[in-house]
Amino acid sequence: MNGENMKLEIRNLHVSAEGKEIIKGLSLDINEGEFHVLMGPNGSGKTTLGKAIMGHPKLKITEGDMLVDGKSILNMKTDDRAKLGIFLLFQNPIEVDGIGFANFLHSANGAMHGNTVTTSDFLKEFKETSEKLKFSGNMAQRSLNAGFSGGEKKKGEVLQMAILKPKIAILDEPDSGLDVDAIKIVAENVNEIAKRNNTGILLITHYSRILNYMKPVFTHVMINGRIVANGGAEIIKAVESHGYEAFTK
Amino acid sequence: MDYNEFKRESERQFAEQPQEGRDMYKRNFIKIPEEYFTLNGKSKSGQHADMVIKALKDNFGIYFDVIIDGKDILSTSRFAKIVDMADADSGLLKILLEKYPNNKFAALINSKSQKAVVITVKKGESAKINALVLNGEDPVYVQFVVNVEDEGNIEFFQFFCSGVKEKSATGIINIADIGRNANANFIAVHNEGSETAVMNLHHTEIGECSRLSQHFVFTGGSHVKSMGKVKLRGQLSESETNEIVEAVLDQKMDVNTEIVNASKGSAGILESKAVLSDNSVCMLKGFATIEEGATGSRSLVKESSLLMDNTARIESIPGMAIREDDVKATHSASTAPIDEENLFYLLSRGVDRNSAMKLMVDGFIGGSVLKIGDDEARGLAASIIYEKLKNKSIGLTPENKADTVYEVVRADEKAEDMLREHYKYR
Ligand SMILES: Nc1ncnc2c1ncn2[C@@H]1O[C@H](COP(=O)(O)OP(=O)(O)O)[C@@H](O)[C@H]1O
Ligand SMILES: [Mg+2]
Repeated sequence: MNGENMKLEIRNLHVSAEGKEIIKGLSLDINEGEFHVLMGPNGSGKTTLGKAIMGHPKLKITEGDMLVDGKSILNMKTDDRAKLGIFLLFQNPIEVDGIGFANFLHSANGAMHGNTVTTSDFLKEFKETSEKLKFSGNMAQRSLNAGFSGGEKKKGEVLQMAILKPKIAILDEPDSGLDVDAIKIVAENVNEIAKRNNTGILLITHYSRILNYMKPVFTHVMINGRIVANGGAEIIKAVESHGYEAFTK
Repeated sequence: MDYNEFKRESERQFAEQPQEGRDMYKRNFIKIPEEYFTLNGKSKSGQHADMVIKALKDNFGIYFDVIIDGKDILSTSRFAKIVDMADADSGLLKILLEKYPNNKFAALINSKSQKAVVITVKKGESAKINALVLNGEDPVYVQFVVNVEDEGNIEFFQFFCSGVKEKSATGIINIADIGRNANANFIAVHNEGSETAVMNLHHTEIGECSRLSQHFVFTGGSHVKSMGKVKLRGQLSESETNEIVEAVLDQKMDVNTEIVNASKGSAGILESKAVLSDNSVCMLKGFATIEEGATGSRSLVKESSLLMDNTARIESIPGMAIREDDVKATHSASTAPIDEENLFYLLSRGVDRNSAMKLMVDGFIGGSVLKIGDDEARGLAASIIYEKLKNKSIGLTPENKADTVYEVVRADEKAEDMLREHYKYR
């Protein structure tokens, strides 16, 4: 155990929404700097897990705990969880018309890092990262995700991750809806950002395509609200050749 | 007609007319309690006036040419003449009576006003006038009659403010006539006190090839009754009316504006936005009329509102009367509560709840605030709107500089336009 690295522990977590249990006793540890992938078919509860970690108001934790560095975060507000260094890349980022993308990110950056980053440094990093992500046009002036294409939304999420520099990032299907070129760009940028900041990653996907460009060390398979397999790259291979059927005993 | 007849006629209409006489609004209007019509407070705003004038000069760079403090009116503008109602010529009295036939509020203002402000911009001249209207316990009733001749330009900004917590009233009639090839930019920021009833009447007619841009900000007052009309009288005339309503606590606002396309190729836009919190109530009543013969004219009426609390109430009542076929008319009304999913997204980036709410409000009305063309007036309006969002303060004089609550980013600054002018949430 490394005392300086942030540690997120999920212990026997049960989550329900509108009276229906979606996550049914899930345990998972993620440390800063580690690279995990969580695979599972549609509807298994992956997105719900990401939102529960972030403290979504409609999700009820009925049993179990989530801890950061040994302290429960169950009673923490969403923004305070973000300030601890947890980041969620949304599978479907919402659109808010009228809030400038750059303005918002500038505000969020201020909330996360105080006055340690000057506006001109912020703008510089914003521009450089946008270029690396191959954003076409001037997306800074556009409203937050409003009218963004599927690919632009995901790139926008990665751009936010790059600027906000979380310690642990949950990436909920950063590959869905993207063409091959875009998947490659997103994957390579995430790899670079994570390496530079020693970010711990929980990559969520139901499709192994993005794994051509990303090399997670820990693999978990989730089915019907539970983790049914833990391991390494061999599990990805098993999913690729036999699908998820093999894991439903 | 002499003043005595005028006064008698106004008093008669006030006594006889209901607050709302039109069938379509009979069930949807804010009623101003009768007691507001008979107030007879003695105090002027007194020292408050000096404080407001100084704060606006120091913090916003705004200097006033016309100052109305209770019954006292002062003008230092060569364009604005103060006329004693008792000495008014029959032409002026006729205009005041005829523009608002059988309107209880116009009748009240006309019967009580002792002085009117007559603004004349002669052919080809340009005028910029800033007017401050302060009410103390003593209500203010005043008429502004504006006449812009052909090729004239006017920028007219009115700021309403009161220094009282007691019941009071402000009643304003604005009548403007814009000639041909002229330009008018009207801005009115209503920031009256929390117990002041606000009656705001405006009527503007626009001549051939002229352009009107007008902006109303309603943040003050206990009850706000705004009734306005824009008549696109001349061919190819254009108007843009931008209304921003921000209501909190028990504020009640009733904003009714009619845009009339009365000539060929005229174009009118009315955009109203309301942000409502607590138990506030707002009625947005935009109305588009296209008269027969106004071929090729365009009309757009758009009303939208954002509800911050589920106890707030909005009624959007759009109306239309189209009497010509060859036109383009669009009407829309939308209402949305603060969206929990949107909020969750903003919070997940580390922004606290309060700031996230403000960002969402800024997202909603920021574009409308930006449209206010005058930098100083916009800074003041923004600072009042965002201060109020923070403190629910009604009618306070903004003692904060514009840029402490609002980041004004101008094109010539280095931010390269990336960070648009916006609410500064920290
Ligand atoms: N707010 C909610 N209310 C009710 N059911 C929900 C809610 N959110 C998700 N679910 C249900 O939970 C299950 C898991 O959904 P989700 O977490 O999105 O799965 P995944 O991301 O793995 O595809 C689905 O059956 C979905 O319909
Ligand atoms: Mg999902």
